[in-house]
Amino acid sequence: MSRYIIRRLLEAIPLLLLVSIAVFSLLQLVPGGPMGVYGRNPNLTQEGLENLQAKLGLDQPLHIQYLRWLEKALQGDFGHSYDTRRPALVEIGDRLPATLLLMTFTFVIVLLISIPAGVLSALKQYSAFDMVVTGLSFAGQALPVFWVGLVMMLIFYAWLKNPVTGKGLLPAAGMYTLGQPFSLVDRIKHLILPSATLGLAWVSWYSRYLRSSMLDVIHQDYVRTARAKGLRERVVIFKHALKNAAIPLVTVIAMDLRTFFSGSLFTEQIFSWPGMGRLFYRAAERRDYPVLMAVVMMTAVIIILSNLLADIVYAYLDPRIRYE
Amino acid sequence: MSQPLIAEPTAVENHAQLMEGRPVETMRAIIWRQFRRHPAAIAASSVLLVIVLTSVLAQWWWPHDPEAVSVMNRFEPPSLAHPMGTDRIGRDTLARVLYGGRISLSVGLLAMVTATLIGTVVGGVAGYYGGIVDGVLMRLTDFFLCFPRLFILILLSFLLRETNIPFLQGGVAPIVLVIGVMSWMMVARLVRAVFLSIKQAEFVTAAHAYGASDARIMFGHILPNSVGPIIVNATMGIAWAILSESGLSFLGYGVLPPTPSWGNILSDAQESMSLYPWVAIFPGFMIFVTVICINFIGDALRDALDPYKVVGLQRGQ
Repeated sequence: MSRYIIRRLLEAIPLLLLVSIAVFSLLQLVPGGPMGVYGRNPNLTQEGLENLQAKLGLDQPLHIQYLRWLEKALQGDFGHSYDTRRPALVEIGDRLPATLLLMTFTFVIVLLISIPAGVLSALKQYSAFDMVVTGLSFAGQALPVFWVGLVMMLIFYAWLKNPVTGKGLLPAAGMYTLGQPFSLVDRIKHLILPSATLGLAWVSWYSRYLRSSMLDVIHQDYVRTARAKGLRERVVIFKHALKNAAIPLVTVIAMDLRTFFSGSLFTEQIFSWPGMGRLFYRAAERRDYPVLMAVVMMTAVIIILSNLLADIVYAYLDPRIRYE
Repeated sequence: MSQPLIAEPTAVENHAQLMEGRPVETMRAIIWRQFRRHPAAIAASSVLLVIVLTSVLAQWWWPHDPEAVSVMNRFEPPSLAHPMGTDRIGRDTLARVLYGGRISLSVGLLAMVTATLIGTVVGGVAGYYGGIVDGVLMRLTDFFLCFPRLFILILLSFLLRETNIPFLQGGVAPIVLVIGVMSWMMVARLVRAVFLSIKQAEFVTAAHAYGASDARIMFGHILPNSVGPIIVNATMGIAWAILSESGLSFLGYGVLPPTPSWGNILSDAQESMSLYPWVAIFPGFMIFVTVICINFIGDALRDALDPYKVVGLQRGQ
C-alpha cells in the first residue's frame, strides 16, 4: 500500500512539472505579455518600459524565464504580484482562509442535508418523499450557480427588508460588516447567502448520488441476511447498508476537496467574497502572471493530491479493490 | 420506473420468435418503448423542442431585433409588446433571449460534439490497444484533468481572443473549442472502459480471425455496440456545456456583447437587478429550464439504453 502511494507521488512530480510548463507557455502566448498592461500608458517612455522589463526579468529568453521561475518556486518564492507588489504567496494566504471558511461551512450543511435526504429517499423509494427529493435534486443540478446567487440576492437583500435597519434581510456582500467589532452573528449572516447559493447544487448532487448507491446496497444479499438475522432496522441501515453505500460518496468528496481551495468563482464574484476565486479573476483581468501561476499551480497540486487521496480512501474502505 | 402491466418478451422468447420467422421487436423499438415509460422525459422533450424551434426560427416569428437600441424604452416591465420587458438600453429581452438561445444551444451542442469526438478517439484507441498506448493516453487524460477547469477555461478564452488567429475570431468557434478541449476527459475514460469490456467479446475475436483491420473492428464492431453509454454521456455533456458557456459569458470571457447569450444578458442585468428584476430572472430561467429538460431526457435515455433491460434480463442474471 505504501509503495503504491509513493509510486503515485513520484508520478505526480513530472505531471506537475508538465502542468507548470503548460501554464507558463499559455500565459506567454498572450500578445503584449505581462507588459501589455503598461503598453497603453502614455507616461511610460520606451526606456522606462525596457528598464521595467529588465528589472522583472522579462527580457530573457522564455526557457530561462521558466527555469528561473521554477528555481524560485521550488524554494517557495512565487514572485511578486505585478499588481500589488506583494509576494504572490501572501496574496494567496490572504484569500485562502476566506475560501476555506465558506467551503467548510457550506460543506457541513450540505452533508447534514444530503445524507438524510439521500438515505430516506432510497429507503422509501417511489414514495411522495422520494419524488419530492428527486425532483428537487433534478432542479438543483440544473440551476446555474450565478443565477441562483443573483436571485438569492434579489429576494433576501433587495426585496425582504430587515424591519429594524431598513436594509436587506441578509447581507449580500463581503464577509463581515465593516467598522463593527467581531460578531459571530454578523459573520454567520454574511455566510448564509453565499453558502446557500453554493450549497444548492452540491446538495442535489450528493443526495442523488447517495440515493443511488444506497439503492444498490439495500438490494444486496448481505442486507437481506442482516434483516433475516433479526437485527433492528436501524442497525441494518447504519451499520451495514450506509457504511457500504457511503464508499462511492466518500470518493466523490475526496475529489471535491480541491474546490475547498479553488473556491467558487461565481459565488465569490457575486457576493464580493474575498476568496481565491476572486483573486484569480482579478489576476486574470490584470494579467498578474505571478499570481496566476501560483494559483493554478497550487490548485493543480491540490487536484493531484485529492485524486490520490480518493484512490487511497477507496482502497482502504473497500478491501476488494486492493487485490485487483 | 413502474412495473409493466404487460409482460415484455425476454431475450429467449425473442430468439424463439426469430427462429420461427415471426416478427421480433427491434432494439430501436425496445429502446423507444422504454423511453416512453418516463413521462417526465416525454414532457421535457416537448419543452426542449419548443425552445429549440422558437430560437432557431426566431427571425421568422418574432418581430423585434435583439440589437435594436431604443434608450427611450429602457427597462420597461413585461408587457404585450415586450413579454420579457426591455433591458438597460431598450433592447427587447425576449428577442435577446431567443437569439441568445441560438448561441447557447449551438455552443452546447458543438462543444459536446467536439468533446465526444476527441474523447471517443482517445478512449477507444487506449481501450482497444492497451499496453503502452493505453498508458500514454491515460497519462495525457490525467494531465488534462489536473487543471482547475474554470480557471483554465478563462485563461484559454482570453488567450484565444487576444491572439488574432483568423478563423477563430468572433463567433462561437473559440468558446466551443475551449469548452470541448476541457471536457473530453470523462468521455475518454468512459469509452476506454466500455471498449475494454467489449474487446473480450467473441465477435471481436471472430473479426480478428477473419482478418479485419484494427480500424474496422474499432469503428465497425466495437463502437456501434458502445453507443449507449456514449449517448447518455453526450446528453449530459450538452447540459454541462450550456452551463459552462453561460457561466463564461457571465464572467465576460465567453460570448461577447452585443451578441446575446443567456450568460451575458444576465451579467448585463446585474447592476440594475434590484430595480428591474425581470431582466435577470428570464435568461437564467431559460438556462434552468433547458438544462433540466436535458437532464430528464438523459436520465430516461440511461434507463432506456440500459443493456440489461434491452435484452430483457433482470440485474444479477
